[in-house]
Amino acid sequence: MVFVDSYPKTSKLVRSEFLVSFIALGIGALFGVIQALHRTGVFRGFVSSADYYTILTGHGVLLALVFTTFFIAGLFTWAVANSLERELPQRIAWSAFWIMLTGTVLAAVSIIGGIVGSPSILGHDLEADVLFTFYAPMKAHPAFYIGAALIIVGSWVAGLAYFKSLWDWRSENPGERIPLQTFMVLTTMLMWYVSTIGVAVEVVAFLIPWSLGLIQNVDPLLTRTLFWYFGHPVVYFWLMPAYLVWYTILPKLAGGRLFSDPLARVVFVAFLLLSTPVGFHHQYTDPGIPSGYKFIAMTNTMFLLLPSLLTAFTVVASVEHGARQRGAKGYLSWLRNLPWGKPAFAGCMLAGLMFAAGGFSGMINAGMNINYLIHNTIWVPGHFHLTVGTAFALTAMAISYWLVPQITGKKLKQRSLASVQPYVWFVGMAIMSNAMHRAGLAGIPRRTAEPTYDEFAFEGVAGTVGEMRIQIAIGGFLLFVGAAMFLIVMADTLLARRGGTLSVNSNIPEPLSGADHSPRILDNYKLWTAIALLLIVIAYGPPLASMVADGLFAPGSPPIPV
Amino acid sequence: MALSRRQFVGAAAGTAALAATGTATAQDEPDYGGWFDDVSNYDGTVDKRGQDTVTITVGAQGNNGAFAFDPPAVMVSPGTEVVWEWNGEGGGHNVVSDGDGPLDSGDPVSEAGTTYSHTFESEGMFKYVCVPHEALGMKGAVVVRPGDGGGSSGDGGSGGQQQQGPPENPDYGGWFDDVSNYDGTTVDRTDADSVEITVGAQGNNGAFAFDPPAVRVTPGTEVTWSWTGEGGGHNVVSDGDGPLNSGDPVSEAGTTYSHTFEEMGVYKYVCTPHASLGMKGAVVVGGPLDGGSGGSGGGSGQEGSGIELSGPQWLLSGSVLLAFFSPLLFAAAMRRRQTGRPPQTGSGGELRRATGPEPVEEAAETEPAVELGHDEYDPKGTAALVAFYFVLIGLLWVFMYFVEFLGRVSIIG
Repeated sequence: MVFVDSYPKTSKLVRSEFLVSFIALGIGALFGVIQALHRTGVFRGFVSSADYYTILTGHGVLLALVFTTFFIAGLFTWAVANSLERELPQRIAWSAFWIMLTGTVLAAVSIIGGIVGSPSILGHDLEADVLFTFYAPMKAHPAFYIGAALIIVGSWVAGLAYFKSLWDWRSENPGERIPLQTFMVLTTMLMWYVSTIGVAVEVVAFLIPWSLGLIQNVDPLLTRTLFWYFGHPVVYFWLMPAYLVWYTILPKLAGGRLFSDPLARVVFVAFLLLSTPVGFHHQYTDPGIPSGYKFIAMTNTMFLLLPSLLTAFTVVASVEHGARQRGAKGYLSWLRNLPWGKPAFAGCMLAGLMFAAGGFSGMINAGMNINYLIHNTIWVPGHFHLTVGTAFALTAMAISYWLVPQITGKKLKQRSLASVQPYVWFVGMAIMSNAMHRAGLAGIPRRTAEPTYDEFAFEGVAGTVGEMRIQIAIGGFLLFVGAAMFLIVMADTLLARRGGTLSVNSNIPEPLSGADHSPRILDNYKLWTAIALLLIVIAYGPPLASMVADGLFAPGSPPIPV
Repeated sequence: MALSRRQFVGAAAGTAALAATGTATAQDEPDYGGWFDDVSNYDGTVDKRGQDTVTITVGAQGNNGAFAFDPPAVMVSPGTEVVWEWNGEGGGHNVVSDGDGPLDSGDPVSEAGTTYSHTFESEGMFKYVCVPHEALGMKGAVVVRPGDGGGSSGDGGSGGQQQQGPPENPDYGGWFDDVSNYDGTTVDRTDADSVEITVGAQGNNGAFAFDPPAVRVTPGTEVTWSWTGEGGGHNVVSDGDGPLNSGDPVSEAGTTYSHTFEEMGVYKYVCTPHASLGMKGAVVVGGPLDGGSGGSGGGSGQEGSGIELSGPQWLLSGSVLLAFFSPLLFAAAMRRRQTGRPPQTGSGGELRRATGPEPVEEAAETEPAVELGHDEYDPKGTAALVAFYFVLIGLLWVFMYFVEFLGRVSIIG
């Protein structure tokens, strides 16, 4: 039975969440191509160089916060209902949706305000040119911070709906192991609860009162630290849903079975433990944080490579199992026996391949010494366009080709367009990200509308700066085309008539190594959360205490107009 | 050209100021040309004429903190000594004239009890700022006018002088929209025979400004542009056809370029390399000028009646809205296509209506060609790929480590 018929209410919720995320993707992609053309100097007619930063903020917030959070909410809603075989508690889940949507509208309107001349709303200029990282003392309209807080609070409420489902399921199935998909969802949400405390404190205790004028000064270092307490784990909040797809759905798309269920659980527990106490690796150049704590953060970050490498092994082995079941032989020739023409499979695989490259540049970022080579250069956006911009985004688009038919009961339309789309994205990203990495090595800064300076010329180690600019512009344009292709397929599918035989099959075969063989302690959420909190206290306790010791708002900075 | 938000706020506030002068304000309130628009504690000019010494507090409450002068605007008689007294709040402050002017207390200091004084001998308006907090609105002005505090007799005279002069704010037709250090005032230097403009002053997010950006001179005045040496190479070139052309950009401090303006008119000019950053200026020669010359486009911006969008902004806002509503438009198109199509079969429609939503089935599960269980499966291909990945990472690490040595002169040779 198709998901939409088994769980009609939950299907409607997933559809709504996906719709918001797709709209955010469309606007965010438009902002993206404007930036790519502007900062490379190919075409600067869309916005002035001052408004570039508004567009940059919109791109970051709409894609990294809105598109991701709504898509993840939809995917998790589906995964919990699918694996626990029950409708989600509707009232909680829908209030989560409306809270997040309200937050999104508030944040988006304040950002767009910056383009249309910052009209004064409630005594403050309606603008939020503070970039995705919204560092103090750059200040946005209070509505932006309230919107961001509501998106986070909404995601907490959504998590409550998943936990409520588990508790209900538990009372009916005492003693059973938590199904893998639900286990992954809940581990991710626990990690999310622990890590969003930082940004919640930053926004609610400091930035909202400050932007309203209730307090005069905030401590920029303290608020930055609280941001990065959240700012690194958030990338795992994007990544773990992609892992959920790669572990539980991709093997089936390849024609095989998941290699090991216990290994997948170990990986997710490792993320819960290690995701948060690493934020200082974004602040290697920040003064006021002792090097020792930066070093601890680096060590923890390097440990985080472990679950990702375990994932690479498990997922590739599961896909290889699919190829072998299709009759493949040989060491490498099995790669040919895979359904590369199916968009869901091809998209996930290309996303995973890009993530391997992203993992490499991530190791450079995390290395305390070598980080200085590329800190705040365009290398960094080059890196996270491989991770969140491809590992997550392309996986999300790919799995939509498989999931949307199930939650709508409609056949996937424009299938030839869909099968080309992941390759367009992959090629565009390969061109753009490669050039961005090389430009970063040449020292070209990130977050800059016109990165050219008088009497100074950047020199590339490999290739010329002009060639890199052209590649960034071409790559960015291809990505925009890729996003547009995806949205056309989705719009055509969502508006089609329901009925008939779908192109997809929802059955997920049992793993080769099932949960029965794994130690029960893996499912002990209390234990893992306690250890995670302990690690955070070790990594963050003393430096935060020293920042607070000289006064919560000192050394303070009043808002700097942007 | 984009309408910056500063411009928008400026236009709106300007309208408010215009309305205020039109209705309530007495004749003797000087026209500061928008100088106090962003100063929260400004509430009219305090008339202290007739006193020998006048004290202004530095670091008074205002502008969201201790970032204000109190009183911000004060009117004194010629010969008065004005004393600025620091109260020690709000960090380091100083008192520096806006543009050319007599006031300069030096580097910011924060100690309470610090004082700085200046005796104003000549009549005029002296605007000043606290440099570190200017952007927050820490600005003030001293107006020197004869009189004794009652002030009505002197005002008639000054009002008469004003009438001879040109309009206070020439219409530049949006020329200064993206110039950050243009605060809506045209600095009046009609009293001087030679006028100096700084090239490479702070502004437009760097040393990319002319200071003052807009200046009014009498015909026959020699205007000299003087380079600060900051912000790289600059030049002075007329916008369109015009007399100004200092040649290729130069960056040396102390460079000067001068031009004597004989003909009345508005002379707009730019620094060619930094024009896009807002490094633009204008010299207004003579007056009063024909009010219509600036064009009506800028005039409507001054009304501040609503949000003004330029062409590219319309394009952008339009695309955003279109993107937002594209699913709905698409829906409408698809719905049309659906309704335009004749019913597919004779009997289908009614039957489906009676049985609820259309039945949906999944694709059949594809059966594996070879069933491989837990014990038969040996992931040797994965092992090969993992090995390949480790080799690749090793090579990339080596490459990264030696990028410095390959590409540049390294520390060790």
